[in-house]
Amino acid sequence: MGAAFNAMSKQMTVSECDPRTIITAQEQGGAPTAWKDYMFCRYLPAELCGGSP
Amino acid sequence: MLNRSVSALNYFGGKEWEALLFEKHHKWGHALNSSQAFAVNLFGPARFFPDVAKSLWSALPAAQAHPNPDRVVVHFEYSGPDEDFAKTELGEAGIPTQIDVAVEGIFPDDIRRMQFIEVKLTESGFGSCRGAKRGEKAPNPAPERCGDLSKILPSPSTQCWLAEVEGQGRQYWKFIGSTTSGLDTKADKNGGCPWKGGLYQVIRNWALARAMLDRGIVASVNLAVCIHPGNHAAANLSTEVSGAKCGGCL
Repeated sequence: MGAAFNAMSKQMTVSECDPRTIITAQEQGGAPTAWKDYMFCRYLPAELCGGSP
Repeated sequence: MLNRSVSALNYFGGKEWEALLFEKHHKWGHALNSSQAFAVNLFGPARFFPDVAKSLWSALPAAQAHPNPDRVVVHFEYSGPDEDFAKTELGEAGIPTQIDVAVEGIFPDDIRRMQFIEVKLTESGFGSCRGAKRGEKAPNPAPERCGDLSKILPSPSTQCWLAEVEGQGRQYWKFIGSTTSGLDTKADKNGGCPWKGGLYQVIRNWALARAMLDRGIVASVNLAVCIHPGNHAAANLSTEVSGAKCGGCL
């Protein structure tokens, strides 16, 4: 690509966020456990599915 | 792929969650691997529960400099503070720039700060500007202009197809090219416009953010990409954006 975007942008660079962090943060805020299980089982690696007691 | 008639099954909260898109469904929003559905499912709880939204904010890059807002609001397919903003400010007469997820933190004295998030489930890139396409169906009658950034920068109104389309033309260069924009546009490795490749969606998001900042609508905007950990093409995408490979976080 040549120039990378963040090398051009000094004030608004682009960060990365991990979906697992987004799920955990919302769970800690009180999001339904059923939603967390849905997200893990549908979208994330199989070992994370069914982890809730 | 779901039948369109049962597309609500693509969402954890069914029709109620699908309705968060306000009819701004993507063409393939009913696909099981839809990034749009993934975004709504991923950020949906924060849309409905204020405490969840505040907890979400704490995990976002924007919170590093600005923690603990009074209130947090989650928007999907965000195009600015009102329906006409993208048309008026960016010259987008057709489908406006739509940020997958915009999280708005509201601070004392009604100071607003935003986190724009582009969500990628299986997609491998950020789209390309159609102006660089060649061939019989190419919309740009002179795509060779895209090959020389040194000519575009001083005169985008005559050298960039985007600045010519849709009546008044797209106004991206007004924000990109400003000396106070904070962006120092560099040519790609062949000397061409850097937005004709996979960074196009990023610069559109950036231009929307810049326009909102310049109009004083928000005090700050952070940009982020949220990529599924199994999306290995994201490693290349990360390099395009940041210039360095992510240390194992994708």
